[in-house]
Amino acid sequence: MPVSLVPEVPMPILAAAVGAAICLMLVANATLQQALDPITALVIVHTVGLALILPLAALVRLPGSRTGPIPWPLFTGGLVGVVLLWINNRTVPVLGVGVAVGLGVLGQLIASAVVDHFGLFGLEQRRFRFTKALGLAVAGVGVLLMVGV
Amino acid sequence: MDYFLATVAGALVVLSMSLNSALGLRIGIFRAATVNYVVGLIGALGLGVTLGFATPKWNAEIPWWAWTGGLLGVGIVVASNRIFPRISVASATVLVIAGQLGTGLVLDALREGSVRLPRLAGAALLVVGLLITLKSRTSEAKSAGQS
Repeated sequence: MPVSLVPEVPMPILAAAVGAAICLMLVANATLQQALDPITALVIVHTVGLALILPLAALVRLPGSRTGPIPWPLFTGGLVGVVLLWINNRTVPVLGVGVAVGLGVLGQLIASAVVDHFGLFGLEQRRFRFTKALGLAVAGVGVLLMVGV
Repeated sequence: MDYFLATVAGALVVLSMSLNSALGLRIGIFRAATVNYVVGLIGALGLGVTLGFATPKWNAEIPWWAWTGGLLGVGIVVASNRIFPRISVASATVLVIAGQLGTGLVLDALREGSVRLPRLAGAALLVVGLLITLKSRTSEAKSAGQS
């Protein structure tokens, strides 16, 4: 189903733009947190976000494509986000956003390999292969170089 | 410790995106994002009540763009809810990472006023690693198609 408010751009381009936005968001949130304090910053970030998403959700009534009961863990994404924000606000000012992102990438790669391998969260299962292990190893060396070990 | 935390953060990004997109499949992406922010706000307020709110330094000079993190976050949640069901978690992750790394390197170079070559080389290697990971995916899809 097309979503009118989100432009029809190719998924790969949208995904790369999301990456850039994440980076800018990390810097914005860390700056806010440094100027105020961690918890106030968490509250503000979520309040500002809600101020945008509430009208969106009210105006655009999108049905889900999958029916049936909703497993409760699916509702905990927001809590994961809070932990995430707290960590980023601590690490980004210390490490610099590039290095923080590089380390995060390694964590993401490992986590997404695990999610794919077991087909977690109802997503399609894709088994771990040797080439993927090789890719992870090369990426790991790259991150070490970035960190400056 | 900060290195470890930053790595864990990456894993949490995947967890958070996967949870949100799975919820989006069931109740729609905008409602899923709303749930995400309401739960997050409750969590943040809960933290404040438990640990105590510090008195914010409101007189601090805060650049305007520092307030936009929540807005960017909504865009990210909505867009990733759209991306993740359509391409695999690994492919989406790779592309999101490329965008993040590129932006991060530029921002760091601007902040430090210089470009660090080992860091660029490391980022390049990281991308090579990602591409190898992607390649394993394509060959896997082919072999799956044959069977």
